[in-house]
Amino acid sequence: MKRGILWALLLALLLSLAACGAPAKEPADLNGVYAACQEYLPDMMVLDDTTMLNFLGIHAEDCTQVIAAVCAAGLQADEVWLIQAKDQDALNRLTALAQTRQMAKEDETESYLPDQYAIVKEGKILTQGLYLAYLVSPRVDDMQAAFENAVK
Amino acid sequence: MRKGCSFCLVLALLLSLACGAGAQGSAEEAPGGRLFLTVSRIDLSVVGESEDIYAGTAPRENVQWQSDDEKVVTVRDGILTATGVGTTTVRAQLGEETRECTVGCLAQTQEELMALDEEVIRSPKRYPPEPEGSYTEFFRDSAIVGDSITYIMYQYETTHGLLGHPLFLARGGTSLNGFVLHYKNVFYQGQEMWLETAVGLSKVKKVFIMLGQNDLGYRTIDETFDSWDILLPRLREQNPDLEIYLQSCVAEWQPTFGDGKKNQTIRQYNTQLKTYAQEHGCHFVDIAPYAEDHIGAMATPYSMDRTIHLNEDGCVAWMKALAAYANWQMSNEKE
Repeated sequence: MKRGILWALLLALLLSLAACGAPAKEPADLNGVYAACQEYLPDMMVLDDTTMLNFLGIHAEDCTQVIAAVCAAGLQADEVWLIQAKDQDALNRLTALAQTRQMAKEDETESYLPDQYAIVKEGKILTQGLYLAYLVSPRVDDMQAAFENAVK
Repeated sequence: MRKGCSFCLVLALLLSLACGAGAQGSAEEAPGGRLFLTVSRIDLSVVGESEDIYAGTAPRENVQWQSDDEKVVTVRDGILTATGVGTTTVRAQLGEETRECTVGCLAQTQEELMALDEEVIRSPKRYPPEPEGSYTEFFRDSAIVGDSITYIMYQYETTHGLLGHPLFLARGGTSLNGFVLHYKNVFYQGQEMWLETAVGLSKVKKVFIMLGQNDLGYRTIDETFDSWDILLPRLREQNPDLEIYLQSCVAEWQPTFGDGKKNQTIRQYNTQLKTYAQEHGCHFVDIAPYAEDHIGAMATPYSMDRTIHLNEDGCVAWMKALAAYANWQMSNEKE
C-alpha cells in the first residue's frame, strides 16, 4: 500500500515536472510570413495604427500581432492582412472586417478593372486558432502556404 | 533752472530722435502682405501668351518685378508675356522678401509648337512652388475626398507625407452622383457609409474634394452641378462648421491634339466650379493647371495609365500645389 502511494506520488511529480518543462508554444512569426509574401507582391505600404483604423477598421488593441499592407502604387488590388487576434471575440470582429473589405474590393474593381477583379475574386480569408490572414494577390496560393506553414 | 533747461533739451532731443527713428523705420519697412508666386517654373507655349503668376497678399503694385531677359518674357505686375523662344528667370521683390521662377517659351507660333518633339509638347507646363514652413498644419483635421484619382494620391501621401497624413475618404469608381444617390459610398473605419456621415464621424473641420471626372463621362455639366446642389447642403447639415474646398478636376491624358472633347468639358466645368464655389461659400483650389501639358491634356510624365489617373510624379505635383495653396491661405489668415 505504502509502495503504491509512493509510486503514485512519484508519477505525479514526474508529470508535473514534464508539464513545467514543456516549452510554451512560440507565437507564429507573422513578420517572417510577410517577408516571405513580399516575394510575390508589388511595392506595398504597411499601414500604421491610425491608417489601419481609419481605412480598414482594424483596432490595434484587437491584435497581438498585426501587419496590414496595401499596394503602394496605382490600382493593383494586392493586399495582405496577417493578424494574431487578442481573443476569439476580436478574431470574429476582424474576420467580419476582412469579409467587408473583400466585398468592397470586388465592388470597386468589378466595373472598371476587370483584370484586378479576377485577382480579388480569388482573395482568401483564412483562420487558424487566433490567427487570421486576408490575402489578395495573383500568387495567393503561395502566400497561403507561407501563412499556414507558420501557424500550423 | 539751468538743470531744468538741460533736462528739457535732452528730453526734446531724445523725442526728436525717437520720431526720426520711427520715420526712417516706416520708410524701410517691408510693405504689408507676403510675396508668393504660383509656380517655380512655367513654360509658356507660344509667343504672345500671358500668365499671371502672382499669388501674394501684398498689393501687386508694391512688388518689384524683373525679367532677366525681356527677349524671352516681360513681366508687369506679376503678369508674364512671352516675347521670344528661350528660357530666363523672373524675379520679384517685396521689401526684403524675394522670389524667383524659371520662365520658358517653347515656340513662336502654334504651328511651330506642334512641330516640336512630342516629349516637349506633352511635358508639364507649370511646376508648383516648393512647400514652405509649417503648412501641414493647414491640413490638420482635414479629409481629402474623391474617387480613384484621390485614392492613388492617398498612396503617395502615405509614403511622401507631403500633407501631414490627413484622412482620406476616397472610393474607386465613385462620382458625385454615386455620393448623392448613396450607391458608391466611402469606407471609414472598415464600414461603408455615406460621405456626409463619415465626415461627421471623423470630426474633420475641412474637406478637400475632387470629383466630377467620372460624372462628366456620362452626365452633362448642368447635371453634375445639380449633384453639388444636393451634396453640399447634406455635408453642411451634418457638419455645420465644415470648410469645403472644391478642387478643379485634372484633365485626362489624350493621345493627340484634337482628341480632347472630354478635356474641353472638364475645362468648362472647372471654370464654372470656381464661380460655383464662390457663390456657395466654398473655397476653390485650382489644381488642374499643374497637371496640364501644352495641349491642355494630362502631361505624359504624370500619367499612370494614360487615362485619368496621376502617377507618383503627378501626385507629388498635386500635393505641392495643395501645399502652396496652404502657404497662401495661412499667410492670408495671419493678416
